[in-house]
Amino acid sequence: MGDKIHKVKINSEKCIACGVCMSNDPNFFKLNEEKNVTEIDYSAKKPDDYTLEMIAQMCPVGAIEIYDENGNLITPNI
Amino acid sequence: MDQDKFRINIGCGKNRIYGALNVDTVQTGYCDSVVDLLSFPWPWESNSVDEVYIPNFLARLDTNQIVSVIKESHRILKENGLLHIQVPHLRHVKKNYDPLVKTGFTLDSFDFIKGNNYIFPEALFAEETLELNSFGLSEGNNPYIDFELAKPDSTFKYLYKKLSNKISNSSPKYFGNSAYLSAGLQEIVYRGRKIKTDKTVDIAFVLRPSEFGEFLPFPEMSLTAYLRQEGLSAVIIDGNPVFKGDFTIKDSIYGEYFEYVKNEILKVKPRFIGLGTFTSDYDFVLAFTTEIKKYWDAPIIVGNVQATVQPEDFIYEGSTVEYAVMGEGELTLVELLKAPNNLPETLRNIKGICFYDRETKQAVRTQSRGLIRDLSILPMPAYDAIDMSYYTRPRKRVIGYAFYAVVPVYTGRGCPFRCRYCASGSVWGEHSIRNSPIDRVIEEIKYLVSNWNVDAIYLIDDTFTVSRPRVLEFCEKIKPLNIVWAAQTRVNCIDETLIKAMREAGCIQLTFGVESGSQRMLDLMHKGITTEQIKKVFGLCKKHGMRTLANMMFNLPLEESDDVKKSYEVYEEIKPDDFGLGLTVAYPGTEIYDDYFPQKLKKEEYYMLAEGRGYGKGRFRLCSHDLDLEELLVDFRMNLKLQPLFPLFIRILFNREYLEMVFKSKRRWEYVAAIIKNLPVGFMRAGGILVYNFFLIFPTEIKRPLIRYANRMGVRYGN
Repeated sequence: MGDKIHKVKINSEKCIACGVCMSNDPNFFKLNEEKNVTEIDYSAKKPDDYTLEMIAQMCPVGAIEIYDENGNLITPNI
Repeated sequence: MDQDKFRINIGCGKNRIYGALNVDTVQTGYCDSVVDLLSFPWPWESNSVDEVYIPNFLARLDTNQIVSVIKESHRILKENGLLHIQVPHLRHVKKNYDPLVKTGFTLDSFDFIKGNNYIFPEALFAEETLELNSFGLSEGNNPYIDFELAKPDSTFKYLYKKLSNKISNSSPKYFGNSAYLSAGLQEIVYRGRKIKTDKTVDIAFVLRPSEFGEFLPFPEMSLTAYLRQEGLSAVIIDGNPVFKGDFTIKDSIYGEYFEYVKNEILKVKPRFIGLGTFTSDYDFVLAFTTEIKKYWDAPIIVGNVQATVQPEDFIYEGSTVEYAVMGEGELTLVELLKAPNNLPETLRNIKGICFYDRETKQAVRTQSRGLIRDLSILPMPAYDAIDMSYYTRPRKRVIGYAFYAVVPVYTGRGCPFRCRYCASGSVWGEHSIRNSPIDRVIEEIKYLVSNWNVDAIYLIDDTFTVSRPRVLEFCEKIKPLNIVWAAQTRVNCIDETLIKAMREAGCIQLTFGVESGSQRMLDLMHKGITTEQIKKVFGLCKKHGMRTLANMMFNLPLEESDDVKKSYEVYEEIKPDDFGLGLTVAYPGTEIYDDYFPQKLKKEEYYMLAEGRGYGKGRFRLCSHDLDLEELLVDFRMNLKLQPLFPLFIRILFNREYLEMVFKSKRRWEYVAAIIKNLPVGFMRAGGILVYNFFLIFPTEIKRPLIRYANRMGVRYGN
């Protein structure tokens, strides 16, 4: 697998705070109750690449965007 | 007097009773405590008092207050506790001259306590004494109560009154009601013992008959458990175990099923009747409520899908339904059942209901309640409220199509995904998941295994594997229980790690919503999966010996014959162990209903949604191709390229794991009986498939009569 994920962010316009990512890693993904969106806590330990990709793949709205070191979008691949 | 007993003297005035708690609304100088006796509830616990004495207090009240005092006395009294009432007789001079005395009584005044009237449908007290009394409280020497202030009267007067009592009570009706003879009488004494009326329940949930009766009534069970936790009582009236699927839908309203439900309702005498409403049940709800109200006039509360999506369908002027509970019902129903009255201003403060306001003449939806965020506040569903021996018999429609003594279990609520054919979003109000703690789920499973001899669990959550750490925790904790289980999920929410862990923890089958083999269709439906993922996950399941069940949908909006072909191809490639097959129906509350169903359904037409044979025809036809959909279903079921020859319940007889489970089970003979009973069906299906596939070599024109025949025989329904 390697450490191919360079950057991960949540598209807050798409996010519906459904809880899928939060239920998988409640430390890295945190709910912003005010805006009712999920946000990333960059100070927390990043899940490994495989888990992160799996979580991004499960996101029902494709709001979790992960990029490789060249800045190319890996997921969602739409 | 027995000092251990808790006695209360209600409205004691100046008459103290030895060994009792003497209370009055004002300090009379003789009472132990001052309590506002006209505001209810009284400050004493239910079922806590041995004897309640009400000397002369009732005469100072209005009729409605008298009723409330008697009801409240009933509440605080223990079972078989004594209610003692002394009231002035209608003809007693005091009644006519004392300005504080509002009401006079006759012997008939206490008839209403016997029940069978609109105030008390059921008797609250068993009458012990109903006598005329010449003594009167103030005269002392009261033969009924040991009064502290009672002074001995002159011996002559005492003997005279004793004689008078004797004579008048020799024929109380005659002396008590005769204008001339009763003039000298002072009082009427009533004594009754509390009858336990736990038969009067707060709400009775009525289940409609279900053709297969496979799934437990979880909404009603969950509500029952929560209501009990909040001190309310609920029962579930379920005729399914009685009739075992042997009825027609029409029966549910007019036939034996209705008779059964009616008799049960008259037995339990519920304050409210609750009904779950699926859209297609609309006719049933209206017909049932109209019919049941002829026998038992309790307000009807509807809940579940249709009550949430479109409550106004039920709430209109002259409707037989009084309230609709929108969304999750637990908290709302408790508030509604505990509401002190049904005035609009009270109801408006209850979140999440819809009711008809007679003053403004319109249906009022109150503020939305939102979802229960923390599912751990909910107790375990009330499994004991239904006939579990029926719901745990080995049956084949729950896990795959093989026999298991299985109970479905929810570990969470809601679905985050946004498939356009699904109404989950509009039912829950949002796309989210809320999970119960795994320890609670394991507790529930242990309870089911030890109490009901359950051999298998079916996790009925829409997508069980959405939280990976949670699934792994569940696997670790269920493993020691050594029970088989199955779950349903999506191909994008699972990977080899999870499949392997689940298989090792006793999971025997995964059900996937494949729906279509055409990426175009999957994308159009916002399914959020790819055909690559489908193929990959089915491959992984095969690798780890996990049985698979694929649910397929045809008649998707804008479906072309090319998409159908792709479904055939993908299905042939993944070869699941079993399948679920359906024609898409646009239900109100789904996106495809809004977008692809131009001629909307009127509420009188909802019943059409229940008629499986109408699916895919006329306005229910959503696809763009002109293939005959019923032929398509038959072909899919009977095609040897797609389906194995024998149904799963026969194939599985050669599976060691299954046989071990049956052998170990306390229900092993029930399994044997169920399997033997179904063997002819299984072999007939195999014969049908052979004949059908032989005819496949002929052109469609020759095949068609066969397909029609198979269709008429119900092939598209059976497995």
